[in-house]
Amino acid sequence: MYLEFSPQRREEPLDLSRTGDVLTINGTDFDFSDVADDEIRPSATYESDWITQDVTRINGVLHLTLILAHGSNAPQATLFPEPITLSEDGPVTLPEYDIIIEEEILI
Amino acid sequence: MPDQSPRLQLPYIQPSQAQKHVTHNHALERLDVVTQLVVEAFGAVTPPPAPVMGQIFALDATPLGDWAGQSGLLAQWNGENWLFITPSEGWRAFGVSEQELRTYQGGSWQGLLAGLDQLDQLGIGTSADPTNRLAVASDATLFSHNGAGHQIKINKDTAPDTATVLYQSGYIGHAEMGLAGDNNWSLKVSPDGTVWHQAMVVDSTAQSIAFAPAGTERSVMSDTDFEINVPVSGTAVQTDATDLNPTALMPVGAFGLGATDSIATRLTNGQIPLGSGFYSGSGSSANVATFPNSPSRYSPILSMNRRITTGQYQITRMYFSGQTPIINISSDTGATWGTYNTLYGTKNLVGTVSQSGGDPSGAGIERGANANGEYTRFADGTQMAWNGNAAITTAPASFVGTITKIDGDKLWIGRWF
Repeated sequence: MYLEFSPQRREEPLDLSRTGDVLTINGTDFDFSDVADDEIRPSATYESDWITQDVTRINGVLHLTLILAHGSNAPQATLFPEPITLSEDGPVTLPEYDIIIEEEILI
Repeated sequence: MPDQSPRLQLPYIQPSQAQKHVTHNHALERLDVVTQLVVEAFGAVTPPPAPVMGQIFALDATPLGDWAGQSGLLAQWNGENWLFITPSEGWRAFGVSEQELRTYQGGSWQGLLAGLDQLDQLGIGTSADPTNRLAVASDATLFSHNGAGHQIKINKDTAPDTATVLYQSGYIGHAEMGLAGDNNWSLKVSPDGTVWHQAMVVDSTAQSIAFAPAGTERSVMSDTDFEINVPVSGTAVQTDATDLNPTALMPVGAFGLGATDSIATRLTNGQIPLGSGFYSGSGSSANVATFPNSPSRYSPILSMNRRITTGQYQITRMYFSGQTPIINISSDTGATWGTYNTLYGTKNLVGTVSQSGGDPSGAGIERGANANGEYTRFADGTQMAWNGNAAITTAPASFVGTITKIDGDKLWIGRWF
């Protein structure tokens, strides 16, 4: 599974987990197993604001573009993300949502 | 030759006189009265109903009854009638009821002591001496009034002399008050009669009162100034930094005023009612609910009260979260508190914008850029996005609701909440 990301400032971080051709996006399962090779499936099919671009399968590999939510202090790796290829099931490690600035506490 | 003696008027017996015993006994009668004269009372007015033979009375100027008309005479009851004798100047008589020896002077009986004057010394119950020319040994000495007031006067010759009252214990002096070597009133005390210090001076010239409990002047009061050179304590001073007693003096640190080190009153609860002043938070993370946010738990707090009515106050409180002031108000004496108002400045005007229930809870303006373009987000909910000079395909920041898309998607304007 080949994942591209479209970064967007959002309040809710992206949470992703893969099981074969099924992606769990923030708790909701999306099954892409019925996408055939070279088929271009419109994003509207999935009624998810995380999936904003068409889904396709090239040479048996599913190609997806997902919104990558980030906070106001996100690192460059999140703001300009690189695509990733998933080969294993389980939770997906994503670029960091935000850099938490430690509270300055002077005692 | 006269027929009676010149002083006591005793009748003489005449040559060849008959009834000599009568004259003789008459003389003896008079001698019996005036010799070793003892009267029952001075100034007697009324004769006793049953006089005892030999009793003598010194009569009043206007006696009554059998004594009528015998003004000022001596009267002796001889068993049958009253014998009257005129006293002479200088006679002495002891009054039984008065228990007093008197002399007949100027027509009346006067106490012997009435004439005490110019004595060298006088000791009452003890011995006087050339220094203590009047000495009294007694449980008490009474100086009373004679119808109105009374003064005891202690007079000295010149200013450098001393006119004081000295208090002794076992003849060792421990306190002395009065005019000691000058004309100011002073009180001196001594633990041993040898070492003395002046504990109090009322200066009649400078018109001041000075106190020196241990010999060093610690307090001076004048008509225009009250100087105190020792720390003040007691109920006149606040018991702690939050003592609200309106008549107590405030030391440094009271309500946090003037404190340069730690503020005396550190709060674990940021919403409790307090007197107006400066405080500091010391709450743990468990207490953060009563502070605007976590950093303000450790920061100074400015608390100001405005009286609404008796016992009711509006409390305005300013917290500090780092360099950001946060203001909160309670209009019911701290029972309930409103939502916090954060002041915007150079540190937080631009930053991470957030909201809570539509109210800003973060910075005023947020700016960001990512692979999809750039955006600016405002605390009021407005958001703009653009993508260089190209069309936006995916919003670089999420919008909610309708997006106004301008110039072929080059500029999107809408809301982020």
